[in-house]
Amino acid sequence: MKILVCEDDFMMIKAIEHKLKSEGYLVDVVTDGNQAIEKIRQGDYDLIMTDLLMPFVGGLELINTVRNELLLKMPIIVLSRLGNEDTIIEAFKLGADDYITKPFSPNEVSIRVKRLLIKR
Amino acid sequence: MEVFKIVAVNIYYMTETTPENKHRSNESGNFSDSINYPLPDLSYLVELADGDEAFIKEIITHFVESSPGFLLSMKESAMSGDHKKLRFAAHTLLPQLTFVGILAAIPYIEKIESGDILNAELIAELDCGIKIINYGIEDLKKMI
Repeated sequence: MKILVCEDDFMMIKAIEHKLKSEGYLVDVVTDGNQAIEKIRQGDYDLIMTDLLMPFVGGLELINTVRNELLLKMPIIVLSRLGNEDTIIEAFKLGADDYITKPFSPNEVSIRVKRLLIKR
Repeated sequence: MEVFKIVAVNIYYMTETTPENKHRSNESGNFSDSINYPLPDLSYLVELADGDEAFIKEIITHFVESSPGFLLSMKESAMSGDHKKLRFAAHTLLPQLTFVGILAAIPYIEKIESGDILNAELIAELDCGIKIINYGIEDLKKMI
């Protein structure tokens, strides 16, 4: 299973990558929305995990592009800090499937990813 | 087994030192400028690492090396009145503080992120947060 992680914070990248790889997933990381869209066009990802605040193209715009332009249906998990409720709601409206608040629990990441990939 | 050494040192400092020992003094040894705060709590990082000591060292090393410049940039943003940049920096910094366990600084940086305070109060809160983070950086350096 291949997961694309869209996140521009070094520590968050390392933590998520560490967890997902330990679970056996293949992980690609991009640090901005433009890179993410390019990777998604080229690759075949089973799940996308994206931060909301990123350079150039943010998480909401990325979700919109994936769902409404590229018409792709892979699960999308939003990474967000507490207090971003309005933005999270908007992300769900655009087509996100789940969200994880930062800083995250390793077990929560594992469970939420597995749950969405089983459905797929 | 070095990850256990890091955890053991962390636990020792958190449990064996008295509240007085956890005070920090300024360079002259005068406690008038001390701030009472706990030492970095690495339990979350240890949980994330799941036994991978290289991961712990990488995270701590990155923070220790990158934070001084980042904090300086935040101070500059505050002094120049670039509150948008400052709030974004605070937003970025907050999860990192959780990773490296400098939890005492979080309330100060959260206030910065909120944008609810301005001017002199903003600078004061930022200075407190930076001071605690700098102490935390010195503690983290001893742990790796």
